[in-house]
Amino acid sequence: MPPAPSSILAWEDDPGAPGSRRHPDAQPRPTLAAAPLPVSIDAKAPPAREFKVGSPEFRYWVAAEALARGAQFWGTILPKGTRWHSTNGARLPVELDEDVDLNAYYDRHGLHFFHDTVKGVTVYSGESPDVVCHELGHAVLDGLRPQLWDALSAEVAAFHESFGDMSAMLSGLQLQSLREEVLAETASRLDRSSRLSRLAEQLGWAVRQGHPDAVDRDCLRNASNSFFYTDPLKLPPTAPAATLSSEPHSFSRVFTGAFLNILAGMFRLQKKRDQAALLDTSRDAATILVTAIKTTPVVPTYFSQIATHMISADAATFRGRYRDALKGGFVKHGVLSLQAATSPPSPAPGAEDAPLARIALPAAHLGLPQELFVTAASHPKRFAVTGAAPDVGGTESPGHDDAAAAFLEDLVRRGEVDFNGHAVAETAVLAPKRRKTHEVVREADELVLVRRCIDCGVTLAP
Amino acid sequence: MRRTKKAEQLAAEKFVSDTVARGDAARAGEDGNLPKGATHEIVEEPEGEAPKIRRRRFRLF
Repeated sequence: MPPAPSSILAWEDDPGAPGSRRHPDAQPRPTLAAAPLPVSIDAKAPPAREFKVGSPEFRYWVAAEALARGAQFWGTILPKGTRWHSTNGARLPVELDEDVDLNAYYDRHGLHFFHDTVKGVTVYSGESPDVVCHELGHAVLDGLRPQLWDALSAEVAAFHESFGDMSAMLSGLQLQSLREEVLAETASRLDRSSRLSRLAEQLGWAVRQGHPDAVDRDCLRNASNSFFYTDPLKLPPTAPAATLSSEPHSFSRVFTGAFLNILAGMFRLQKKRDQAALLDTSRDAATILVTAIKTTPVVPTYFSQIATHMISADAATFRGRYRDALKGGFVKHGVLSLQAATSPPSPAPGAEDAPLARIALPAAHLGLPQELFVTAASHPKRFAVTGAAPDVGGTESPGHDDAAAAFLEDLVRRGEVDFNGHAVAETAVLAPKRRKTHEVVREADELVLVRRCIDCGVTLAP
Repeated sequence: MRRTKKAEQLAAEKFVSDTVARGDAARAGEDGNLPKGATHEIVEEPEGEAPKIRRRRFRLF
């Protein structure tokens, strides 16, 4: 009789902040040497048994399981022939506990993890599968696209960080138990804050004890966010975690936030919304991401370039199945402007006469075949006041037509407009949101925007 | 809209300036190692110009 397969205990995504009641799961003994992305831990492997939480043997198997899971996942997604960057060697070296630090690194000579003690709790960065799979993501991306390593661009550096966070999320979703937990925690609305969106809760807690504004309040970085793209040229080099800066980890949250929205939108398009469908979604999202990375030129405006290439990759690989989810996520976070997310199907027709308070706005960039009539706030101003500009002074006071155009664009970005089939599907951003506050209706020959309801509250989930 | 060459240079200068301002760029020690937390090595400091840096590693946060 063959011996029973040996099992080990491992965290699914993270030990959690002190006080959380997580239990490690039994997993089969991981294989680190498997092609095409073999990994080598710089320590002798303990026997494959279920060790006690807190022991060095337990931490070894947690890291080994996460490394093997992440490497196996990306190995099936990457183009054939992709290897680690040559300076790493054939096997990616991993040092599980190099020194005292609350951090982890990838340096083209492998992955490096650390430990530190905070308020009596010793935190090992290599004990968090989130952290392990983030660092592994850097190495994966470096093997796939080494040109990104040293590009002097805030967007390129931020994308590397975002890829690490996306790697943590996608690697986590390869575990059935985590998929089931996340679906339960979010009521199947994946863009909600959950163990999927919250990266490195334990390490985030540890950092927060010494630097309360350096990380998000519930983890290191939460992908469930509302950060909106701003040209990093116009951002400060550092800022509290609650705001955006040009610092790569801070700025990465724009792209990662869009990606979580996209993942949620892609999942909503599945016939059955169960854990198996979520597994398929994660693999499709990774395929789109990797296909785009391979072909996207390295330019300062890298975010919008990658986004456009992802839409193109979806068209080529999945016949545009996920087009609306991609556009919706990117437009919502400003990674793509509406104009960039849509290509006008035909020149907009000339302006038509309209009643005084109803103005015609160009709508080709919304995917509409003709102008859209909206009711403008056209009363004359009584006081010469403006809102504050992001830098100093006040903003320019827009005319009512500009204000209406800006408002319409914001509505579409937030997915609040039901186009009722009037938009050209290939070009419009048809956000898969259930409740819409406005709709486009036909009145005689005109398309008109009318309000359907008033949404009393913040948009937390569709 | 494609950025001009000048804008691309501006983006690179801003990146270097921000990296140095945050303390993420440092000279390597005698052993060749960077101080804890640094991601870039300052490889050249031309007088009156921004330093030249190169990436040595990525860090978690």
